[in-house]
Amino acid sequence: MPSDHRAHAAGADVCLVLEGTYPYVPGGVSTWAHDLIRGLPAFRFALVHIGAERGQPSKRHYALPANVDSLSDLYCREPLSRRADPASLWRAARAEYRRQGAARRPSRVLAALRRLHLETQVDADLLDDLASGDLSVGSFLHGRSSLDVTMELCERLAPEASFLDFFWHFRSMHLPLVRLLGAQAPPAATYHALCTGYAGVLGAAWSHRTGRPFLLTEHGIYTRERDLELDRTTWIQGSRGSRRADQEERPLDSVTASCLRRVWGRFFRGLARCAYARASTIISLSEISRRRQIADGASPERTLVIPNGIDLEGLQQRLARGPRPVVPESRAVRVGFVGRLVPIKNMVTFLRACFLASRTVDLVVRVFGPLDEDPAYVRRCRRLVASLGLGPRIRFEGLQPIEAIYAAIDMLVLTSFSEGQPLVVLEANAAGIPVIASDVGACRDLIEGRDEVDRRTGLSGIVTRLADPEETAAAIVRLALDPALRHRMGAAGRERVATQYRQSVTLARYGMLYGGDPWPASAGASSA
Amino acid sequence: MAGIGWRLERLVHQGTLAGATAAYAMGAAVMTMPWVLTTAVLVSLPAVVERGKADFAIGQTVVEVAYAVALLVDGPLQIVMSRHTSDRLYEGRRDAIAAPFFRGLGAAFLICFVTAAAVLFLLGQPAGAAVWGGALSAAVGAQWTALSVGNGLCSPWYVLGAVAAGAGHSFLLAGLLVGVTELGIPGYLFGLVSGQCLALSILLAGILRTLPDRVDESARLLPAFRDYLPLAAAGLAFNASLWVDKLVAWNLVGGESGTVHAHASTVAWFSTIPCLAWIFVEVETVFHRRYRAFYHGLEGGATLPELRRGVLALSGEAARLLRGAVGVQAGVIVALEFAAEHWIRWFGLPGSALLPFRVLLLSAGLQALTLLGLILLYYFDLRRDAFLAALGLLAGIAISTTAAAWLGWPPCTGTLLGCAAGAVMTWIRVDRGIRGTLRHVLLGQPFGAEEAPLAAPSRPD
Repeated sequence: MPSDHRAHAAGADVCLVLEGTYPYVPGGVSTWAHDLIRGLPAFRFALVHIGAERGQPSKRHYALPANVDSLSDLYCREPLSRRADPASLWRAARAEYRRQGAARRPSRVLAALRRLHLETQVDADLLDDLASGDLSVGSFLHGRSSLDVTMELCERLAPEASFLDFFWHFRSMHLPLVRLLGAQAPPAATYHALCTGYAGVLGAAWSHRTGRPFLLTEHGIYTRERDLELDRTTWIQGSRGSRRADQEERPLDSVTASCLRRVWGRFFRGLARCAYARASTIISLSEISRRRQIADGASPERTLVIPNGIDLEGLQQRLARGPRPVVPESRAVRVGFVGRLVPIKNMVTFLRACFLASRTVDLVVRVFGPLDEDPAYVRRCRRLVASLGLGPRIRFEGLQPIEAIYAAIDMLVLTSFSEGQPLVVLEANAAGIPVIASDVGACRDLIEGRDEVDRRTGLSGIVTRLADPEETAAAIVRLALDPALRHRMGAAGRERVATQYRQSVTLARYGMLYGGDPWPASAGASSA
Repeated sequence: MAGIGWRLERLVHQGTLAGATAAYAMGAAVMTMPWVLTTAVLVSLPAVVERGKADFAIGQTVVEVAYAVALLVDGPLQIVMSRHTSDRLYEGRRDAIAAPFFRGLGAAFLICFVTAAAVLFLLGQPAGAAVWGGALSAAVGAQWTALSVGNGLCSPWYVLGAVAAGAGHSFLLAGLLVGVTELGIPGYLFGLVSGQCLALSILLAGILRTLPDRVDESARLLPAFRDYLPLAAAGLAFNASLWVDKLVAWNLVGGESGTVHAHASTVAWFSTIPCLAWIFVEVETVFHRRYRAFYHGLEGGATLPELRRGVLALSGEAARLLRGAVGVQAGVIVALEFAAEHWIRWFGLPGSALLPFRVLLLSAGLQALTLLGLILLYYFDLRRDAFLAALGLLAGIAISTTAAAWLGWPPCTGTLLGCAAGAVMTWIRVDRGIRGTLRHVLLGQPFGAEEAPLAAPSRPD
């Protein structure tokens, strides 16, 4: 319950800082946030969503619970507000350059950004500087001191990179942060960010500015996910060719691409260090994630593991109300994939594994999840399906209600490159369905048990190596050929969820953290 | 000047005396043609029309007003047209040149005609003289507008040929009509107008030949005026600075001293022709190459140390240009200082013009150096600096010439001080501007100029 000593003027109990998730983007973290808010009706929430650009996305996928006081949308970029007239933009830019050129007052935020790149320690001074929010977008884009910092960092961090590319990347990297740090903090008793990154640093800055506590929950490890993206993203890929000036879309040369990737990675790690430094409690979903946070700079005594839980009774009621388990038309085994169709979910490995498994066993494959988040990736997956000849076996079902999903599959396969503690594994286990998952995040804990007591419950699925289609295919074949094994694993999963992963327990723990009561197991150990 | 550099390069790189002469003659023509022609017309008037004739004063006023209006009104238009054409050529949009050019030409024609006619009417000149003055001003203004575009599109020989044909035709027909048919001032003005129209026609034919058949009628000139307003204002201020000392001398000193100053100043400006030709050729060839190399490096992925070296090279190149221009101008000044007495006699000036002429030679040299600085500021798109530099020169000359006149000093001393101050201030801006090229180029980008404020919280549905 909200405690009196945290009372504050006309503010929420909790300001939840979200980045690219709830309530606009469906997925595990969004569902978790929705359940958290609904599950703590005594607390008033102020939501702050950080989106990439105004209007993207615009549709809410969740109806906001009654205890949400406000929803603020902040954006990393803003679309053009003037007419798309290049000449008027140039005029505005030159006017701003002249205006900012005269202002030589050193900015504390700029000094903090410089330190963020050059130092590995985050101290109170750095947070103080960031929280000052004294750098306007105009000063950042057109001020001389900002260019001086850009040049210094280029010389020290990427001396061999193309300066023009470094300049634009440096701006793209920091502009969202400059914009966000200039935003007013919604009054709240506690600030809670659901990842590091921009949301984490914003939560930390607001907490520092207002003197209120800051909680940080990481479902996946943000810096690791960004590193994966940076390795794969096309906008930072280097070409083998030399530098060319005569093309509008000039590919980066390899040296520049490598330097920029390093600088981006360093930047995201810097943001994470800021959030870790300010957070009173740093929550992760599994022991492995906690260790990773500590390695990235989190103070061990402030880390805490609170596993996700699910509303077992509610889920079972929904499953019971849903369609009766479909009796297969053939003896084919039904393999399911549940998740967003985005690169980090590694559908490619899943499809290749299904192809390899289909050589040995008869199977049908259902893919459940939104198809509109990364259409290019979906097209790539469809092309792969066609090229592997899997067309007749695979159906892309889109978003479906949970009861329809688990009535239609015999096993769940999860081949993600990165996960926190995937809710779909808990849901599948609660529905008595075995899971094959790659060894990321808390998947091994969920399937094999996280301590001796838990391990006695037995295996609820099979853990495979990351991005290994052969091993995943072997696991599919093994479960497909052994219905008794599937049954045993399903039962173990159901028992594990019932004993270890109850939503009520998770909510109670967050309620205690929000209420400011001392958390007995917060001294660096798992709370479970 | 749009696209002229490679033609000059070709002439210079022929390695022959004829090629180099042609290049520098082209430079001299482009840089000095309008005012040389102006001066020649003004100087030729007494020679063609006898001083004693009753309508001599009317003719003199008509010609002076017509050229002054064309110079003042058309100077800014020339700069805008030239930059607009350069930018369209750079973008490869030749089809977007014709429509704005003809609109600009029409505007120049109309504005010059109406303004000159109105000024002459207000000065109490007869209606016929006002119409002749308007026609002459319109023809000259339109020709100079065409020249500013034709310089970038046509070959140097073609441009020179057009101007030479027009000038020759003007003088011959004017002389014929005055001397043989005794038509007097109307004949003289008809000759002048028809010569300017001939040059304009030849230039128009050349320009049209280089432009594509397809014309983008939606291309507009007015936004270019907004964009290049500081450059146009700089052009206006520089043109005005060439006249302001004469106006001050006429109005504050008056009498023979004022006239002597004005005439000596006009003649002294001829000394800058070799320097201006040198500046034109060097800026459009060597400097342009260095300038492009810097931007190619910037866009092509140069590292920060490479870019810094590029800026230093540009700075060094500007210093070389300054040294070269000083050298050429100093050579001309020294030669003319020795032959000063002969020169003033040759131009029919009295002996009292010797001191002003000697001093104003230095002033003219400093003005030429200022012009070089302005050209470099244009190059780096430092529009505001260019405007302030030109304004500084204008104000410097006006104030110091006025102060000299008030103090009873020869006005030429004030003019010299004003020119020196203008040149120094301009080159300080050039030095600062080139050293800050990287900053200016990068921080002036429109990235984020459109940033909107952060949104306020909304209540949930």
